[in-house]
Amino acid sequence: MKRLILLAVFLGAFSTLFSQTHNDPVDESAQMSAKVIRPFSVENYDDIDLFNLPDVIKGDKRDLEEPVYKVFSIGKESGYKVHFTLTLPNSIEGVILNAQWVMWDTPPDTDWGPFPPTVLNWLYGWDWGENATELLKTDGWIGVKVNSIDAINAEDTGVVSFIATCSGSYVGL
Amino acid sequence: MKKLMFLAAFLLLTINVLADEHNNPVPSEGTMTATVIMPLTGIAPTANLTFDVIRGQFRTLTADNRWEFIIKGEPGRKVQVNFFAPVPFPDPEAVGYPALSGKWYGPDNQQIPNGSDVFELKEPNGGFPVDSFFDIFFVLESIDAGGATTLGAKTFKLEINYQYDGI
Repeated sequence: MKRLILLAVFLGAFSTLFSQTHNDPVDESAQMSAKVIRPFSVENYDDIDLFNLPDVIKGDKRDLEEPVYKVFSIGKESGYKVHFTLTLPNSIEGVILNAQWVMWDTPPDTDWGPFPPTVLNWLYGWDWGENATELLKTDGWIGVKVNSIDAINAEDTGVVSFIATCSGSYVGL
Repeated sequence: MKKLMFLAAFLLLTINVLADEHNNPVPSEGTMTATVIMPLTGIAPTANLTFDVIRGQFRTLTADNRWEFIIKGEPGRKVQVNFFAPVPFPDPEAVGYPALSGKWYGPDNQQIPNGSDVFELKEPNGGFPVDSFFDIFFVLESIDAGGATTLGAKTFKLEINYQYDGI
């Protein structure tokens, strides 16, 4: 009898151990992912002093023997494209800068002067990362290349300041 | 006299045979039923969508996205579902992750205002199919990388749990 009771207790304990608790909540889950990427950056590139516009005589146009550059350094996440909006300096007090937007893949500051940059077709905006090579890049240099200063219609003498703007944002985000 | 005694004995025996025995058990039957119902099962989404976010910024998502869960079970029964927001995976306490936020929706696309709701597994028409199901889904609305400390892909877990209601 004692053995029978012991067996019954033993079996009862085992049943409790192996049976599922009734109506247990069922867990279900999925995975999501987000990719944190480097913010796009554009900054004045002050490491080189290329933007010294020479003097120009009122009423004359001066073609520069060596172009003058105003440079910005740009940065992005590899694998992503950035769309740029670029503006050239406007005429100020009748003085006009004949200029182009250009870019470099390597730093433009060298002991012997900047490498010839690539001229950009910027009028309707420019996409950095349009081809496979550019898409992978993370750093670049973009700038305004001034070829001549036209003071034929200058209103006055004195210092004239010009502004070029460069802004960009990731495409598709 | 002998015949009389014999008759008396015979009658006594007969009475014993024909009378009810004292305190016999009285049988009675009652019927109980238990219904075995199908266990709840679910299908989780397997979409492999990744959304980019710029570190330090908040992104509102406009692209259509939904993570859909399908829950199956016994027709006619109700199911309580508990909903949870996405959390970093595998460590839900991980720091430096962007924060994902969005909304849960139930069958018929109604938004779930709280973290829990009860839904019905509808009875099938004409007896088919033999099981019933409903779907719920999550829509990711924004990613806040204001506090993100590192770049790269981050994984999150989106979870629900569910059980029959009222059994």
